[in-house]
Amino acid sequence: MEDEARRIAEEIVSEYRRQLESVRFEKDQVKNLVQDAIGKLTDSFNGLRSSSDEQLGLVTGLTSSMQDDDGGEDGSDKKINIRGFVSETDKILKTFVNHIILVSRQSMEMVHRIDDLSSQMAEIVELLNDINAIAEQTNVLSLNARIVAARAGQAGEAFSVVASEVRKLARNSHEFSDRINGVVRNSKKNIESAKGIVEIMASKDMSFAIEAKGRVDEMMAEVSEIDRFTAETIHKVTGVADQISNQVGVAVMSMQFEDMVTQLSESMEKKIHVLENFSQAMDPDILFGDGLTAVDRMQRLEQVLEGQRAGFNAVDRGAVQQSSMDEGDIELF
Amino acid sequence: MLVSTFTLGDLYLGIDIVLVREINRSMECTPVPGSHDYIRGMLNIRGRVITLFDLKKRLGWSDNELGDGAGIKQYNVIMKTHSEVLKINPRLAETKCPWEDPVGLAVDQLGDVREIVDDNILPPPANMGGISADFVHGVVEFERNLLIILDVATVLGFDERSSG
Repeated sequence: MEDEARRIAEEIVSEYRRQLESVRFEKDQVKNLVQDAIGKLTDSFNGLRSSSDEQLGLVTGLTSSMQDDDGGEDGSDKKINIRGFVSETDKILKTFVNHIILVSRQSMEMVHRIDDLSSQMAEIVELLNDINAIAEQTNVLSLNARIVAARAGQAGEAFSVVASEVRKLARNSHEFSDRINGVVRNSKKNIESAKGIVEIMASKDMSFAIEAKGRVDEMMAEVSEIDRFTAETIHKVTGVADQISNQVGVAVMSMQFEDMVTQLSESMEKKIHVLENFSQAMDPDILFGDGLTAVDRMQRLEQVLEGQRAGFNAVDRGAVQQSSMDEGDIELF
Repeated sequence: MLVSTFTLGDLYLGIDIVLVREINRSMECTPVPGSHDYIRGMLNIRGRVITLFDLKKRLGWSDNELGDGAGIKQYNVIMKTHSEVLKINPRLAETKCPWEDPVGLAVDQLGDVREIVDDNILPPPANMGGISADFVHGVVEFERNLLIILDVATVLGFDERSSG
């Protein structure tokens, strides 16, 4: 009977220890799982943070490339942004229009010059008329010379030859001035048509150029508006990226609960150890040993209990008292 | 003979050059009141007063044939007088130049001086427009033009009776 009781007590103790061992094993498993998961989570959050930083960098770069017109003015910066492009196009267009206006003005000047030329041509015609008058006078003179020569009869024959030569000269110079007159008349016609063309050029091109400038100005205003909207959106995106980065930072910081888990785990280990000692209470020697009175047995058990209590108290004092991660309002998971 | 030629409208006229004293561009002349309408007026050339005949009117051209008149440049053919021609060619002076007063004819355009062989001079054809046969000494075909040689004495109003 006593042996049977001793055997059962021993079995209880060994079962108790086996279960404790199992608890310890599972505790270690929990600890490992948590450690593993936390490691991965931390890595993942760090990855998220660096991706977010990278995104922020990209967006910031985009924003600065769109808005950077303070530093890029000196020409050393070759990068062209949309605002710069718009202002540059506007500048080029202005130059272009000014050029066309200048050409138009010069065309008007040209029209005046052509008018001058035209009146000078008229003067040439007048001068040619004078030359014709001289030729005609010479002709009359030569005729009179022939008349005088005829009066002299035979003696005047030589003089008559001179007179007819003079007449030929007069006729030649008349022909010559007629030909010049023809050329001048043609030139005058050509000048008139050139004047017409230049006049069209002077009046037409300017209106077209100014119209075109108006259209391009409108388009540039639209592009500017789109650009402004894009810049605004990118600015907002930057703000969101900042928030993400902050929140990831907080999450990573919160991963420190691993330490607490580790501490709690250690405390559990100690408690399991103490519980192992607690199996002494079931010591068959105390329960069933020979030569012990009931009072002795009671006292021994009392001692074991006391020792166990002291052990538990010692473990409790060293354990972490924190039961949550609350540092602010952040909730884990 | 040598002929001084000129035009009058479409007519190609000529005068024996010996009868011509000089040729001038037309100039202002003083009208003579009460004279024939073919007397254009009096000219003073280097102190000599010359009676200027309007040849077109003398040939009896109508206003239509005269044309506008204004703006067309004309020339004056001033004739020698009888005594002047006498010194050069007495026979010619007797037969063709009876006038003693200095006279001139107003013509349109001046031509050239032409050498005419006397045998080529033909009598005036019938039905000649623009000029009466009385005023024509003869005609010469000349480079497809008909050159009409004027009988100046008749033109100036001296007929055969007085000259003969």
